[in-house]
Amino acid sequence: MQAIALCRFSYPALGGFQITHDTVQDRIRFFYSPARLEERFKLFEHVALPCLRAQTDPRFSLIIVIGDSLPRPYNDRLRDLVSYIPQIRIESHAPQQHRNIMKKVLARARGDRDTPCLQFQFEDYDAIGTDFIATLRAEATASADLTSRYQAVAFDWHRGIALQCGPDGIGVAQVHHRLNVPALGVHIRAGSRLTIMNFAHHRLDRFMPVV
Amino acid sequence: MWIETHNRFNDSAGRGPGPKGFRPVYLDDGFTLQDRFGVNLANLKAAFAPPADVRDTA
Repeated sequence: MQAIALCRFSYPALGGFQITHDTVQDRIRFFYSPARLEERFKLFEHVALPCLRAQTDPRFSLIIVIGDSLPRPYNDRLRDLVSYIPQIRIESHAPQQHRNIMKKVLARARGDRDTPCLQFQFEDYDAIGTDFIATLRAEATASADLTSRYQAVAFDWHRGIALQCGPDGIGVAQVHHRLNVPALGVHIRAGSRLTIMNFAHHRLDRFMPVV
Repeated sequence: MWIETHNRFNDSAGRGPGPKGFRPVYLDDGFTLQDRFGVNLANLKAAFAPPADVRDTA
């Protein structure tokens, strides 16, 4: 069963972002400011990528969506960083409506709609447990009775660690959130056109069972 | 289990400042994220450390 992750790396979509901007150009300027990108690259390199490289189940693919105007030095830096993880592919797109483009990217990555698949979002500044792919696959397989009856079933792990990094060091706190993006996966039944991007993550339980 | 970061530019997540209860991590206190997440805290701390010239004058 395919496991597909989707990561938006400062992709200047139309919508889909908590801070609003008047124009796409304003958003691009904000996204691509050197201070912001520098912080994002540090978190990507030292938090997000290590957990992908350490996955105990390597059977997954991750598509990183970037804007086609991401400045060349950052584009090159990103490609260098992911070059040693064969499961990662980068797609560059012009600004488009957020959910539409993400659904298209996932549909293309899925390919064969006649088989079920697992999908999850992956933030470039967060981490999942090294057994996340293995556990998601195992739990989805063990829930075959449920997944056969619904087009989509979510699998959610609530416990996490909040991490704050800065010049004064690293701070941690244990946190507990439902339907948080990290470690939230969805099983899509064979034949269904749904994707995880059809739904806002914090509202998944309105549309499907959540394990 | 997962990690969510709460840094200045975690803007898309709308997280802002982190939750109450943050405590600092000291690299010699035995806390590790290596086994569970593959994250090396020493590398992470070094990435966010101020530049050497700033440290020298502090």
